[in-house]
Amino acid sequence: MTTHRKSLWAYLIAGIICFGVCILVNPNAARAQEGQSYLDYLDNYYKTYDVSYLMKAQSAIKSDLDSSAALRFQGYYYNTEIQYLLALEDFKKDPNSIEKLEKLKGLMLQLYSRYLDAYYRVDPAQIQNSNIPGNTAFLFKDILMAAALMPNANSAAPQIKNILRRATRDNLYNTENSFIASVNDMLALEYPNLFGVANLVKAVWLNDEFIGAEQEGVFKDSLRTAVNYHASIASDTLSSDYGKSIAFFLLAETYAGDYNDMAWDYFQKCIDLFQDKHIVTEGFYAKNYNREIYLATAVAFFPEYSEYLFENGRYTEIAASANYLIDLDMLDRGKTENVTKEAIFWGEKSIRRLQDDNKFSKADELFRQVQSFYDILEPDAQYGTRSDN
Amino acid sequence: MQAYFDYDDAQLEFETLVTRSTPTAGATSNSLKNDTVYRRLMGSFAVTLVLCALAYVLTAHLGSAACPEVTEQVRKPVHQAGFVVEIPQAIKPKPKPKETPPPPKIEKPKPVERLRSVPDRRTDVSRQLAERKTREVKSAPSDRSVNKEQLSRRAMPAVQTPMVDVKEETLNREEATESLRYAAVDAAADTIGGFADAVTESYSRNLPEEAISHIDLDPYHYQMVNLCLRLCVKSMFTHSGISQEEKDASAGWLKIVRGDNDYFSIKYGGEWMRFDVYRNQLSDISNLNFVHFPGFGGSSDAGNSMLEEVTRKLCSLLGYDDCFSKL
Repeated sequence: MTTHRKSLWAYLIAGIICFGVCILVNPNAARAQEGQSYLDYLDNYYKTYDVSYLMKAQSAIKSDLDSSAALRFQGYYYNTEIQYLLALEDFKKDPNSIEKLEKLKGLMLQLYSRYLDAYYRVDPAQIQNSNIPGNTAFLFKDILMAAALMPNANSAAPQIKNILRRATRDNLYNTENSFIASVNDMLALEYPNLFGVANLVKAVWLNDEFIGAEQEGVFKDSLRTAVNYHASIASDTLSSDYGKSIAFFLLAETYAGDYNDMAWDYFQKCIDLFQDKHIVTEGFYAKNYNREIYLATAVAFFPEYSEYLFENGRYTEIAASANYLIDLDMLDRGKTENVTKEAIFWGEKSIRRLQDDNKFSKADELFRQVQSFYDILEPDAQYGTRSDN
Repeated sequence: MQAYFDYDDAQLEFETLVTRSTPTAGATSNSLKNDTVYRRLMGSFAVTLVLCALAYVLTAHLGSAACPEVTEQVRKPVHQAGFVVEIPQAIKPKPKPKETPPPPKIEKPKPVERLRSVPDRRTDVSRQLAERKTREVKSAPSDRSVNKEQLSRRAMPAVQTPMVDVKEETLNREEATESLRYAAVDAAADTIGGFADAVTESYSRNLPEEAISHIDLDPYHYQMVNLCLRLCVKSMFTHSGISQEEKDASAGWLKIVRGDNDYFSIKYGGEWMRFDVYRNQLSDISNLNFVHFPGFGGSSDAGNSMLEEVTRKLCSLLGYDDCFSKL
């Protein structure tokens, strides 16, 4: 090695040493980087359901609260919540484990106790400006996340009832449009069936994401499957007609396109609940889940179902399905016309197909069925007699 | 100091004490100017300097380092009296250790009791951090008041059981029992003076619901507009379209164009708004992308209002009375 290179190495080593010294001596480097707090990590967990955020929250809460006794009490609640969520994640991996279930239930009770500790220490006049409303909403979510999986979730129903009692009395949530309202309105009909309510509420949450997903793909399919799963459980376990109608509607919506027969069957089940019966649709679910929504969706699905029936040679079922909707006597003028036009369009195509196959008797029978739909429409609105736009 | 009466002992002592400096052999000033050697020496000097600086910093960081005493070897004069008189070594006063500044206190930012804000699609964590910093500034004076409170109340008993107010209007036995039980918890958890006034809590509530439930705050628009607008667009673009009467009624505010690129235009706010239609998406009730309005440059709220208004007009025209009454 030449002398020049040796010198360069010497300079390099000296430089590295200096740099290291500077790093060590620099007081700014000694301070821990200002990062996220445990609440930020908790918020990130609720966004992503990534368990690593819970681990970070767990370690952050220890260092954050050591310096301030004033916040230590509040930290008891959050620390318990972190432990509870970790136990829940653990339980999800092995839902048949009795040990993990008991641990989860124990932590749920502990979390409820901590919540009450914090609740009773706050001045009632200041409760709206405290953490109690936020913690109440998250406590609901925490308990319902577990209740959707636990086989004996109904044992937690009294806790939810007590929390709801206080939350309603102290106006801790929006009674018309909030997550707590969604639980309260359904639990009022289904108490103490917390298992069914938890699955229905979860299906409703996921359905919003499912409808809002922009592109078809693996993500949307997984959402569809999840909505279907929880709605199925809800439909089997709920006792109220309104709750069942929501579950049936979600099943119909998720089956549409892939399993059209099942979708149509659930649309009928959903709508049949409203026949000869007045179901009160108030509160949180009323805007999105009511008879008009169900009918409008069924009418919107009818053309796809008619095409499916046509392609499978089930021509007579097209008219039968259209007659079912019209005979409900619940459709307005526009929906009636929509269904009628679809029935005529696919009916006439079916007649031509049957004639091409030389099945003339069946074609005649179908023609008589389609004839009734012409009478519903106005004369000049018949297909083929009017110019296009 | 020892006096040597024996000359041989004194000589031996003298020889051991005197340090002889050996002159460098062969060193001439000229050779030092040699380039290679010069560079080597300069490099070595630089490295040495760095290492000294490092050593200084380390020692300064750890504590003061005493400068080593420098002992001077002095030649003992030989007196004519026959014994060597040792001249006492000059004791140099120890240099005062330099006062190293105390290491900077690493003050962790005091965590402030933060409201449980729920992140929604419009709020990200960085915004919450910014909000937290704002609250920290607001609450700083309150933290100081806590310290004052603690200092002033040290003489008081450690635990005070607070009185429980029992409301007279309705005495709920369960609640009264719970209140008493949690009063004990309250007292046990407090140290001195309580924390009621520790942090001023005057934060604005922030609880967007969709992060908890993932339900849009205004589902009304998405369901009704999605379904009702879908029905209207189906009526306009499938099979025979709208009737002549409907065409006449919509003259002046509705134009429908069917072909390779299906679209319709509606007069909204004095301007024609174009809506592109994707007919193949109409039958999929879980797909909202059956209509697109590229020319609209307003906010999402303004877009929702416009969609609702357009849907109302079309529902009114095409006879979707239930939709019209709901919108």
